[in-house]
Amino acid sequence: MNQNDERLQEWLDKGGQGVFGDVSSQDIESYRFLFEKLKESPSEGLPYNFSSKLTARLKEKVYRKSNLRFYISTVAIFIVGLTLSYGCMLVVNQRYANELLAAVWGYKWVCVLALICVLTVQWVDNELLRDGSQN
Amino acid sequence: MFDEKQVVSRILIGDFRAFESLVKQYEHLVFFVINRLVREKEDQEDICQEVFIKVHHSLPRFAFASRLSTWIARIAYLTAINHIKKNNKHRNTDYPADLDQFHFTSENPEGLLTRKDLGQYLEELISQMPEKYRITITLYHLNEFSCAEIESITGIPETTIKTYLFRGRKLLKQKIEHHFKNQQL
Repeated sequence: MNQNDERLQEWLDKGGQGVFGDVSSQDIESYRFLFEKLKESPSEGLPYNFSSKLTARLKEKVYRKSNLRFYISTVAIFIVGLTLSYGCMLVVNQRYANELLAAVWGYKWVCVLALICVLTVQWVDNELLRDGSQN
Repeated sequence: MFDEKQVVSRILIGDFRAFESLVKQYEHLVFFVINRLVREKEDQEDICQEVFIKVHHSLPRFAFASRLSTWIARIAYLTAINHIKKNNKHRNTDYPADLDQFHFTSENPEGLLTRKDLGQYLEELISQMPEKYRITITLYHLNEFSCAEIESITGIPETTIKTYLFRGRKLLKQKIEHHFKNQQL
């Protein structure tokens, strides 16, 4: 019985062409019916706009990631720039370097505010550009 | 004609239209796998999305060592298995430890109701089977992968896949025969 099933399944796997002997026609028909049914796609599926919805979601994710990378690198460049300037000044003239440090420290909130302003303008500009391209 | 190498290279340079065409090409494959493995209908779409986000993320590492469909099917399979593991922590499965000993349990009222439509009845029967039977039958018959490809997708040895296919189909055929006999009475 098991051997017959095995042979029958193999035969149907290869397309079930020709005549298959030694096995009851009911067995053949049941297996043939099963093989046909197993190939049928399920009645339910994903929504028709699945691919566009997913792409839009992914685009948004990638956009946010690259924006975040840009803001972090801007802040990093600002800090590295200041440190390098201080370092260079220190090599040339220690007094000037200390004056620069004192000036930056004295106007620290102005510097921070300027940085925030630059980033905000950049962000608003990006958003306006994005709105324009979407409309 | 879908040229997978061209589509992948376009995606890698940031072309979202190419990615959308990839999703359209493989959404059925992913859905068939998720639909057969994840019982919670409300989670299926989210898991399909998760699969494609993983595909997009891992695409730079895809080296064309296999067909793109095989690679995507593996991601879908592993994502579904992770979901099942997370959700079934507190649930008991009544499958035998030795999967070769699996048999359908006696009829439940739901099964009797769905018998009216044989296709639906078959779906109901498949959903009662252990995951390994379900995935091999789905990948082989619905997604038309070979046994060797199913091995690289699931990690189950090819000979075991053949056993699961044989036993699964035999069990389903017995149920169908039983159904035919009942209808004739």
